[in-house]
Amino acid sequence: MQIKLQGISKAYGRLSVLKNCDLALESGQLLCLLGSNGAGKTTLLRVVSGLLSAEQGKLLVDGAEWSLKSPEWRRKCALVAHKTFLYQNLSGLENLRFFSRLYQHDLTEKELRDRLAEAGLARAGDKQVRAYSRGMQQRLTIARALLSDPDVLILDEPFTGLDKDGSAMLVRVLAELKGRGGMVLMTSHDPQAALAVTDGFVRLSRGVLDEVVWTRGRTWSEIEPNLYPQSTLEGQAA
Amino acid sequence: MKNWLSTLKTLIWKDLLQEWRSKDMLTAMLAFAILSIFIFNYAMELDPRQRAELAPGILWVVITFSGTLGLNRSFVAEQEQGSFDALVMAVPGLGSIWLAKQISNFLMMLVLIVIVLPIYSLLYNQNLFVPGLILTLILGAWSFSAAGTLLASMTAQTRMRDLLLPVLLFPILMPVNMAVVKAGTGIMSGAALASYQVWLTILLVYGIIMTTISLMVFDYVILE
Repeated sequence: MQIKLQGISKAYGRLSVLKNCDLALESGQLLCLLGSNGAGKTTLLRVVSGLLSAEQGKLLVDGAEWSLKSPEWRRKCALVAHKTFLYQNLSGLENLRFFSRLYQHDLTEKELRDRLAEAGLARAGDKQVRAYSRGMQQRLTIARALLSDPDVLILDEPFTGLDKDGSAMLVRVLAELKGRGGMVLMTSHDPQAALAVTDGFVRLSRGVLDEVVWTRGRTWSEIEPNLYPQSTLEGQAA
Repeated sequence: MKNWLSTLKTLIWKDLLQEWRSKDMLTAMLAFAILSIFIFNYAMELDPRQRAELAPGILWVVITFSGTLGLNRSFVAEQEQGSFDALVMAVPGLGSIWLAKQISNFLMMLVLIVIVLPIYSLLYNQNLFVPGLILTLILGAWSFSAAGTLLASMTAQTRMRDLLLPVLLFPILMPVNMAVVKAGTGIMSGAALASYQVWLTILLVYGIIMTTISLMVFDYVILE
């Protein structure tokens, strides 16, 4: 499976946030989106996940045009955003059961508890989510996103709030998803942490997407000059 | 269709379980309703005939104002952690999200009516357990929650939702308010069915139209 986003443009009133952005992803690929605060990363992720309509642009799935706003496309995607999307008065188990029923997967109690255990929440499954720490909520959020076995996983700063074990769990989960042909698009302010799983970095600057810089087993110091050529040159000059 | 009904059931279950645990809506609704009934009771000295004629109006004022407080709280859980986005991504037909919320809000209104009626009857020494009046209130509650849920889903995304919802809702509810009060007064004063039947018909038609329109436009309201 291959998806291509072509000419995506989005504006809030007169403020143009995304300008003619092109992006392509293939099965088993993970791309990390980089950019400073306000660059438009979250907006791009929301457009890709079908939650925000773009003024222009199209989506091609294996060459066929799809609507970004179609329910079929939305159900192919899963989103982990800054907000957890969890119901605070329901337990971790009830949250997973609720979303699995919405996706018509209707997992059994044992399967849901297994998912909780994979997220490191085996013992907290029956507690209400409002009693969870930020890191525990982030783990549950990731487990919730994976319930639908998404073709495209979209993650906005997924390492936020995760401890060392949580980050390792996320890296493992992403590697598994890639292994079974899933696609991942994520943002990060810590590209070095993302280097363990990402296949390429793409920089979004003032609404314009740069070319993808593929990692190809290189170290961060080898990749960085390709991502930030100007700042590296300035650094050398200083 | 089976999947759609299953989704609807799941969404309603979630709303009711959330409300059972948080009591966000019911607490605000009941506190306001009971307080209002007490104030009306002390403020007005009414003879038995006036009581019968005014009861539907007073009751409906109490129910709609309390219901508006509840509607304002009905999307809090979705707004709190952005879970509305997760619902939009998971549910194929977004209309089921609206209908589930509408049914949950309607059930809250029914709970309110069930609690308010005996309190009102006791304080005003007047039997309000009249089948015609109860039917009128149920039809009114359905129309109220149909219009209110759609508007609450729109205003929930704004900072001024507490102010905006009543300002938008009450003009739209004018036909419902008139119909409930007129039909209720007719029933309580023992008038013939023919004299207030038209108001019951208006209530029924309004409920059907508002439900249909809301189901049709909810996708647009949410995604645009």
